[in-house]
Amino acid sequence: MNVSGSVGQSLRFGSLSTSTVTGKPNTPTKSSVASAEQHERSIKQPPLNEQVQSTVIFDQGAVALFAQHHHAKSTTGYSALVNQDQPSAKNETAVASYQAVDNLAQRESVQQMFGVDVFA
Amino acid sequence: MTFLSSNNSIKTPISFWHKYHFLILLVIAIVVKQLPLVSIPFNWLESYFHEISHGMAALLTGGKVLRIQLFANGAGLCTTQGGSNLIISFFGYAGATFWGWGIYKLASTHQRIAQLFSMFIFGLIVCSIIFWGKDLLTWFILAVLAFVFILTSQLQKISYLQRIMQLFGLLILLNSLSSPTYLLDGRHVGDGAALASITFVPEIVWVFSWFLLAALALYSLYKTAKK
Repeated sequence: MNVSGSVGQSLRFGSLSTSTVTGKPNTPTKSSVASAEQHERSIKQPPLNEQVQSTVIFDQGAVALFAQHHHAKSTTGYSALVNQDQPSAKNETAVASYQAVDNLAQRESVQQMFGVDVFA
Repeated sequence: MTFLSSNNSIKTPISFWHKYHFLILLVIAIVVKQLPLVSIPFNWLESYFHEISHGMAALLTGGKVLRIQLFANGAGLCTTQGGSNLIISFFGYAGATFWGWGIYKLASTHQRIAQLFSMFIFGLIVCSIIFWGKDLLTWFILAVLAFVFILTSQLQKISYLQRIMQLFGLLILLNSLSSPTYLLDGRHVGDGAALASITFVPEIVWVFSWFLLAALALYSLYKTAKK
């Protein structure tokens, strides 16, 4: 569960996933590395020096868990993120007003095209 | 009266003119209508009053005029939106008759009225150019008509203006008398056909009613001139 939590953090800050791959030390990566380490210990119990080097990049279980968690998150979290980008009601009203004015001219041209009588 | 009685050379032409001026103008109008080139602007005149009558009927019945088109051969089109189709269709020929009758009648009333009415028609043509003319040929035809009316209204001797306006009135009336008969070509197009489809009254009835209206207007002017 710790692994998924740290992975979740790295997902939220997109740039951190890159730092995870390059192994650049910074605080969230450290926590991610530590969490993954604990998980690996519970599965394989490898020697300590080898464990530190392979925690992030080669742990297949963590990657699978990450993928599973990412899928679950994307269904609920993504829609919440999209909602944050919605324009405000005031802006929507303004856009609708502009479009209504534009439609008026179009409506008039259509009426002129079809609703006319020609007398000879 | 005494002066005229003592001088027969003065009395005779005046009384002849007063007695027969309507018929003289009518003969001139008939002759002008037969002349190949001279008759063209007068055909445009009748066509203009026909189309403007459609337009006015549209405006009076709540519609609007989108466009008036005039053609070199004397044909015309009026594009309207809204209004009563029955009234708009009827008032093409009926309106032209009314215009011809009105121009003659007003010109006969007083020389100054003839001049003012000439200016009014000039203004109407200018408005038509601005608001309803949308193509070069129509603008040209309307400009010619406007020029004719402004020229007429600037005549030094107003009695000439009066006679010319009366002649215009008769020319419009003569066209109103003959034009509806062109509809009887079996093609079922034009105002008569439109009215027939709206009212289920045959086209020939409408053509006859327009012809009768123009004939009555001519007769009315003749009776007035005789008095």
